[in-house]
Amino acid sequence: MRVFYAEYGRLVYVVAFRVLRDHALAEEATQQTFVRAWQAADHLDQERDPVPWLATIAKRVAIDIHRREARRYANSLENVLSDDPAVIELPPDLEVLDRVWRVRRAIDDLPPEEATIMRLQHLDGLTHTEIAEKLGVALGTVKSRSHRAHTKLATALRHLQEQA
Amino acid sequence: MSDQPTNEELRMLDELLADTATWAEPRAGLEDDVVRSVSDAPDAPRRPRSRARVALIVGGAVAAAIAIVVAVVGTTGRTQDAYNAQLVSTKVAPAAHASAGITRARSGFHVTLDAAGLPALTPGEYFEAWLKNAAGAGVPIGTFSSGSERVTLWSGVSPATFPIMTVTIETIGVGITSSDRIVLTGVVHAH
Repeated sequence: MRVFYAEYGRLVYVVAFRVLRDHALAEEATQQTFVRAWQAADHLDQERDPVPWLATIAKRVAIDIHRREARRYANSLENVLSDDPAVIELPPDLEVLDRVWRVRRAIDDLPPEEATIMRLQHLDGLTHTEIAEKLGVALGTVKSRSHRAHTKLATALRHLQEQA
Repeated sequence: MSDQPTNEELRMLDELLADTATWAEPRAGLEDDVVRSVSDAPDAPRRPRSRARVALIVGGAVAAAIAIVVAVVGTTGRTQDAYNAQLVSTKVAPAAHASAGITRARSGFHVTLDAAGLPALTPGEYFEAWLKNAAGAGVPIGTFSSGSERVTLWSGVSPATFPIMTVTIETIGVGITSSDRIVLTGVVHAH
């Protein structure tokens, strides 16, 4: 199970967090997902990539928790402002969730130097120039790595759409 | 279709990359919580507990060459005499692969491991092979230092109940449990 978690725990967590937007609830969903996967392992097709199967379980678990949480707050919705934490967004559709784990998996498969640039650019909001200064590499190197990484990630998304 | 992404694909990608959920990282302790939850969970009702043992295992090959295998131990408790395993690479050692043969002997289980593509070790490091059960408990079955020759190992536990085989890189003086630097992994099957 530890080997299994090491490979897929992050993907499950990303799906759960995308639905729930809360780390504690995402952890709960991750645990439930692995328990259900364990209990349903007999249904696995051993010849196929298990990630879509696991992601499907994660999505269902997370959406169930989302609905549970939504019910908890249902009585307080009449008199709250739109930015009140009691107001919960609808869960994203399944297609969006598939894109999320697919892209995250592709990011994790990038060479470390490309993944680092993606993270600095998109998560930290740095410009190419700022990334070049931070990493001590040429601006052209940052641009070429960024372009290469974007192409790989977009290709991963394309494969998802082709499969759909 | 061109290899170059379209504007629509790039727009969709930008949206995903701008979403903090895409970058979410679970805390380190969640792994222990997950393992504990799975260990505490009852088996599915349709499966008698005494019959089923499920082993989930991963090979991190580039083309998503991943295997999840269900290993079932018979109710009689009789152990098999011969086993084999194909071990696949992980992200730690993408070029590694190996095959293993295991036979029962009077003193335990004799294991031969033919590995290739293992990474070079630095001073103070060595390879260690393990058999693990479905709960992740590992039993060391031997250490070695060359990644290009047939290696003989011995196991004191049966692959029937410890069906997951891994090879890790360990460092001298750093604990006695398996490190997370797994270079090979696979499931042991009875002949």
